[in-house]
Amino acid sequence: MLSEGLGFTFGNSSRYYGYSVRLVRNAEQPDNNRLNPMERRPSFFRVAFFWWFFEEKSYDLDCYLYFCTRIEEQMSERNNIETKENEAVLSSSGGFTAFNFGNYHIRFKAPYSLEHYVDVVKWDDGYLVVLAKYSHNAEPEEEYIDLKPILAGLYIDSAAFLKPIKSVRVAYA
Amino acid sequence: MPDIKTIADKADIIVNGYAFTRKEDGIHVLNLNSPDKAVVFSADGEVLETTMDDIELSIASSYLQQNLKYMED
Repeated sequence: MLSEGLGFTFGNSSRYYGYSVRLVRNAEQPDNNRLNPMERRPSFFRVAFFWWFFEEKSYDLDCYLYFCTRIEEQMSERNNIETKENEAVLSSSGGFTAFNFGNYHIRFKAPYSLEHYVDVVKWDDGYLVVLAKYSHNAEPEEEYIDLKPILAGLYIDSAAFLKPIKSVRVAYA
Repeated sequence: MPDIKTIADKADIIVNGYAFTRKEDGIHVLNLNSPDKAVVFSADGEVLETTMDDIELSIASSYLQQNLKYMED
């Protein structure tokens, strides 16, 4: 910033005719309005406007950042439960056990104290042996799930549905 | 693919394309327009198993609450 009374000028003449910096006593401040918009000093009103704008929009900005984070979480969740060919995915949320395969997202009531599934021990044509973590036990316990009656209750042809499934994994393993 | 005609014939009531059938283990509901969407409610209206998403589930649940009186013997 130039100080009043003493300053440097970088006039066109000095640039084109080989002069270097000219030291000028009592140099005037350049007219702010005649400067390039990028070089102008921001006016009080401009600063005030931006201050008001960010104060006013800070909530929207927070919301935007929150939803960006949520979308990222949901994308990773979706990637996690996305099934590969011949592989089904088992998970639990909101008091339900979810079994995902292809376009089917089957949910059924889980035991009330279930925290999450740890591992799939065995998959035998609709019969699952899994290790599950319950809130009342520090160690994972074996749990047995038979999908056939569940599929029958939901009008799904169990033979056709189960035939392509070769393995099952836990979503957050 | 389930036999939709048989399910519709055996249903106790059909509301807006949803077939409600009372069985021993609860009330079975099938979306006849999209037969891969089904739900089983317990006798007191709790969801036991489903292939529906939460929005469709709330729709089927509200149909059940509104029409349960027509399913009683």
